[in-house]
Amino acid sequence: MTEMADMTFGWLLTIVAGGLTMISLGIIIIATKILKSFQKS
Amino acid sequence: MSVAVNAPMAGKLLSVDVKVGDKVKKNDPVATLEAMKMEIKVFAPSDGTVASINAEADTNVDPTTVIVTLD
Amino acid sequence: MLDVITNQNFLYNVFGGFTHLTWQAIVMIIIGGILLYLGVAKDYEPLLLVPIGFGCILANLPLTELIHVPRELFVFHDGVREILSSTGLLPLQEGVRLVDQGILDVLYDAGIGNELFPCLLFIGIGAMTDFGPLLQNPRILLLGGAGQFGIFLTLMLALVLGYDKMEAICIAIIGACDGPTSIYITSKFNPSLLGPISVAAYSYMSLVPIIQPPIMRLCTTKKEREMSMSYDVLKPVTQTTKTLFPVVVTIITLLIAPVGAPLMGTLMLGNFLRESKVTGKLVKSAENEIASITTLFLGLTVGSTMNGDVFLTVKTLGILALGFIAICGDTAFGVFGAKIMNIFSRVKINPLIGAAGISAFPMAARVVHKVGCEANPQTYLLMHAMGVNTGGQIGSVLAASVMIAIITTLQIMQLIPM
Repeated sequence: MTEMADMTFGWLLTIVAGGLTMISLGIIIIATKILKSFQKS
Repeated sequence: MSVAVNAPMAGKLLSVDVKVGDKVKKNDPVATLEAMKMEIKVFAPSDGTVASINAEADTNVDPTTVIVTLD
Repeated sequence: MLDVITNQNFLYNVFGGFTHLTWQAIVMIIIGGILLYLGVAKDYEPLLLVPIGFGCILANLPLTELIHVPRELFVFHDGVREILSSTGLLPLQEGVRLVDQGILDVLYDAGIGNELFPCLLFIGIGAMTDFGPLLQNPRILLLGGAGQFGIFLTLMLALVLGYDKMEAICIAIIGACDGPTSIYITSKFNPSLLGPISVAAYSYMSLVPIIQPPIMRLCTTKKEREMSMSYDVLKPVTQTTKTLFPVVVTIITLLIAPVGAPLMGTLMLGNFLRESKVTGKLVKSAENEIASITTLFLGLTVGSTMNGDVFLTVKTLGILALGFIAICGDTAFGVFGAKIMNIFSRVKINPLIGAAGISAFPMAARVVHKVGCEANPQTYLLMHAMGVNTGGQIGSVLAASVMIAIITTLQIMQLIPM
């Protein structure tokens, strides 16, 4: 395959890595809330 | 009306910087806390006279602890 | 005998230290001196700048043969390679020299080349971090992610300026505002930039208290800064939650980005040691002895890679400038992230705490507290900011892991060079 253009690489990384980071943080937040819901009972 | 000044956050009370009977203005420092290795001044929420000191230096405090009350 | 002494070759080699001194070496020794001065006299991150500065001076004195950079141009006299090259199985490329390992070469191979040192540091960082304030208000973890967007801003800028992909990644990662993460990524993708990148990352981290406040004021109105945040909403979390948190985070993040295991795994291992409360000795070693020893070796070795030929280029200047933009970008993105969160949520937060969404811990949180306090003495942001700040540590490691995952995938697909 031919090498990817520099800016395509930049955008790809920004969108995919940025998005995936935020989604993962979201999942951690949900997991933390579940953890905390156990402590109330 | 008396105003209770609570510790703004959990930490160690380093010193109370006022005496009973002192007049304080809003935003005057009344006590010093240590939290997360940082010294934090606790400021008076309103003008008044210090009516009582309710906490001792070198003790651990949290937001439920009243440090001083103002009249 | 006299003719031996006056022989040009003899003089040249006995006084080799003087005769081999190049102007690049002199400039680098001066830079090493400046780093030492900043560390010793100005107290900017002395634990790092002192070993880096000293390493830089050591390595740039000629003929010391302590370390050989750039490393691609040397082959070492260690067993296997020597035998291979003597039998002609490992042909030496043009310009490559066969040399003995210097002591700093050994340290380089032991901990920088294979990215071990930054990971050891992460165990210590994990052991020092209290995720309590974050757990009390988990949604602020999003701000720890928002604070990483300076990375992507810098990545784009670096690419526009003509840095190649791997260089751009290493420069951008300064925006994680995290020394070990920057060193990890750089030694993985472009070790020749280790010197300038780590100097930029650590200098800007120590300058956080100076860089951040003007940006924070620029991005907020006085009214926004004055907002006080109550601590009533923050119910203390139980020890069980705190203990389980690192395990849960490890499992989730490593399922998403398995290649991030060396970073996230060690960070969370350190934190689990701390919160489990049964490994007091290990926690003490991790945050004191292991962290100190690693910092010394890491700083010394990184400093010694600051070879004049590599360091004294326009590239380095660009890296320093882009690194600065990265940290300003992080601050701005964090603040705006907080403003966006305010649009969507009922419980409002002071946008200033978004600026703590970087991994410079605990400086960023203290800066936020101070700026908030200036605007309104009745606002006590420290603990909220601490929560965001620890979130920033998770955010930066996570962003780095995800980036490594994507880059290695692209490399396997041969869309970008190895």
